[in-house]
Amino acid sequence: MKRIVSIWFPHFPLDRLKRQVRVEHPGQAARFVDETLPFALVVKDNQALHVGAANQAARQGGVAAGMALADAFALLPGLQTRPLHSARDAAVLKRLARWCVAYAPWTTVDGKDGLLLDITGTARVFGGEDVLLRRLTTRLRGAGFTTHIGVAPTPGAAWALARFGMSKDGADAAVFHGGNAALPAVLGPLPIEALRVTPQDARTLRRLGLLTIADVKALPRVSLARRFSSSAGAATVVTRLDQMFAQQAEPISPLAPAQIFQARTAFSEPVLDPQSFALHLTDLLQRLCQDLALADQGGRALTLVACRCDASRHQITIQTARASADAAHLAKLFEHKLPELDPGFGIDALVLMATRTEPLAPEQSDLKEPDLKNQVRGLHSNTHSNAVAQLMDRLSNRLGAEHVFQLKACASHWPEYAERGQAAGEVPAKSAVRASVNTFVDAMECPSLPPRPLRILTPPEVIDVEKCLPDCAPTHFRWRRVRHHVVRASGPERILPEWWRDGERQTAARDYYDVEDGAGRRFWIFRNHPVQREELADTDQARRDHVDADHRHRDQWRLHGVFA
Amino acid sequence: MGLESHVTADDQASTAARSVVRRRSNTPAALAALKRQIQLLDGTAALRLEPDPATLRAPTLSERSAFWQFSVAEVDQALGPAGLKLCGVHEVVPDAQDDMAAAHGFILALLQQYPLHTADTHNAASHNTGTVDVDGMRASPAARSRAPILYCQSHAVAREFGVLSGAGLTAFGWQREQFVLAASIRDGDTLWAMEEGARSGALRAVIGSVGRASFKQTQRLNRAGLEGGVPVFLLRLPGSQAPGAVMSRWRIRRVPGHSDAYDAQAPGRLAWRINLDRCRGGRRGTWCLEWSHETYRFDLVPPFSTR
Repeated sequence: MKRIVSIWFPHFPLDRLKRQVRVEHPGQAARFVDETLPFALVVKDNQALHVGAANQAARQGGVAAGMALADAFALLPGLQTRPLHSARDAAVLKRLARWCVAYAPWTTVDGKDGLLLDITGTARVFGGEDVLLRRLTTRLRGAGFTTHIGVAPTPGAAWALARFGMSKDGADAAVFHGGNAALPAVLGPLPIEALRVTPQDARTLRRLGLLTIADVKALPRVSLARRFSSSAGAATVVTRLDQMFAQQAEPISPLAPAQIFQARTAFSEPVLDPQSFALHLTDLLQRLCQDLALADQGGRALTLVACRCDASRHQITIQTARASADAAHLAKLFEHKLPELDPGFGIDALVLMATRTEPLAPEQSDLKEPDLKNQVRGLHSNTHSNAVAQLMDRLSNRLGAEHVFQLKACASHWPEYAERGQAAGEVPAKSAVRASVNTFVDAMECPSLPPRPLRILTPPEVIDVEKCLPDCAPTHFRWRRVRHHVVRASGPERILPEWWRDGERQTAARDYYDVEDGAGRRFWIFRNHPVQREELADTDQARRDHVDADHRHRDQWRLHGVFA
Repeated sequence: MGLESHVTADDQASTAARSVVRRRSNTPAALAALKRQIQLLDGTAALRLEPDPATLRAPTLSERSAFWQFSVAEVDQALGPAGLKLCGVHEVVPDAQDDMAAAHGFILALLQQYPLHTADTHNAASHNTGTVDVDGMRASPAARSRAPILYCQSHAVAREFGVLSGAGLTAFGWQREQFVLAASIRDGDTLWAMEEGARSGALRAVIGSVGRASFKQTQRLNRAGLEGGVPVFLLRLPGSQAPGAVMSRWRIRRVPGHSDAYDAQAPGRLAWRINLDRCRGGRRGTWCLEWSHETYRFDLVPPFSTR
């Protein structure tokens, strides 16, 4: 007799999002985890917004999945929402199914929020079925997923038990022990929805006064089949009944195992010589790249694991900016890392794995300049953009990925936030437009922005200003012990801090001046604009005192940049 | 040691040349051979724009476009018959501590003179003659115009002289997306990154700010730049006198430019005093150049103009 486990995640999209937030933004987790605040996920279908999933607080307030979002807001005006990413949910569910292979080889995804495992014969490996189920639930709950588990001889029965079965007090799962003959007694009282029929059929059955499975099962099969024959293929009521009670087979087709790209080589004697690693690595790379190219995949991250003879391991990892199945290029990336590989007392085996792969992007050959050599060599060789990407890979693997970057403009006037570095993975394809045209467009977009310096000092350096009139550039200043006499100046340009950022509330506004000294050198200097005492209300005495104390510190000049 | 090997190479060449003179006394062919040899040594062999008597082949557009031109007659005359060779290492030294930004500005302005206008014709020309792109690594000029510029500096240099600001690049007609910045810990890594970039041949130019680079290292870099066909700008620390195997050596100092046409009180136009201390195939010189941020062109400032 088979043993089938059905796992149901009643709040899968919510749990998935919470887990993602917890992992990626630990600081924000509290907001989502707090079950007392109503929160819902929103799906869009047919131009209308619906509630896809709601948390406990929202459900208590009357919001249910499937409700129109406008109705939900009418019930709970303070409802927080996020979009529901069904594709991401499906991907995570698939990963969970793959993970469950640890408990049973025959696993698959069941609908949008469930898994099916065929644990026939595997329970004894874990020391009994209850041990297996306990481990499974503990680990799934530890990962943050609410689970309901049903165990029965057929998938249909397990499905019904997981969703509608009452677990015995304290037990983690609704487990059915006993033969097929005993199934009707347990499943009979379950509601008609436990039959896995379509919602329309369930509604019709309810309208006919058939509320439980036992009611349906008592009916003559012939009339039942005739009445519900129009229902979609496999999901007819009779089929479902037969499947549930093991009168018709329902095979589970398991997920195909994820393709693992790895190549290994084992040595008859432990190897210590670092010189030979390079040779073996070349061989491994050749084999791995062949596999990758066959599957039309390219490696984004490769790991070389050295299994040492004392059973310890050492590994080195490289990453690429774009998927690559070019053995020569990957070998070059390993070149600088390979000396770091510590052989210890000798290496028994070398394993090369592609830990992250992506589909290889098709290469467009240049029509204007057909490069015969590249066509002969194969698909993924040196076209120009590829050469740039490979260069970026080499640089980032030696200097560190965060140290090879491009500047991206950000929507901020505050000089420190106006630009940020972005890893130079994707090399510009759009900058083909002549620079001058772009500059013109930029100038059109932002017509009044005064010139900015070419070099920025981070952080701005304090300069000594002896005396100066309010709202005027200084006549002299001393920077790095050199005295500069200001001949020409323009400004001030006042830049206000962005109060909506955390911690920016206390920052003073800055008055920037563009000054030129006698030798023609141009500097970008600023003064923290002091908070005016008079601007504060009379009642704000404490703040006033603070301003008085802080005044000297705030009224300070700094040099922020140097013009070319 | 590097310097010595350089000298011995010159000696060998001159003895070879003398033997040529001895064998065929005073014929024009001998003179031409001598000149050719000198040009080979200078790395300016491709400079000749008149038809080569040996091959009877007119200089291709690709060869003509492989030079820097300032479009300022006085400067271009000093750079040699055709201009300054595009690829290879060009050393730029700020005159004083505060001139580092000015030196950067000069490089960005010079890069704006990158000969792109012949890109399409160049392409055709190189195909007809089949001279370039033999090794498959060199990018075509059309691709090169899209290629990014690599800018490398170490953290120490960044602390001392600041970091490149994308907003400031617009004054020189550049976009921040056209630059790839590499920050390294040591000067050695900076040089390595520059060499990798130059050798890859996939970049438009390489700029690197290096505190210390030995003669040998500049030699390596120059060779990489010539092989990859990429201009390499090596920024030295202010006042540096270190020798280098370079195509040209520039000393930059910021000078007051003409005042703003609409506001005499505002900072004036961008002007540099430029010393060309060394130039293969050219001669030394000093000029005052102003940069026009509207036309992206250099203008000569008359030496005694009233400002």
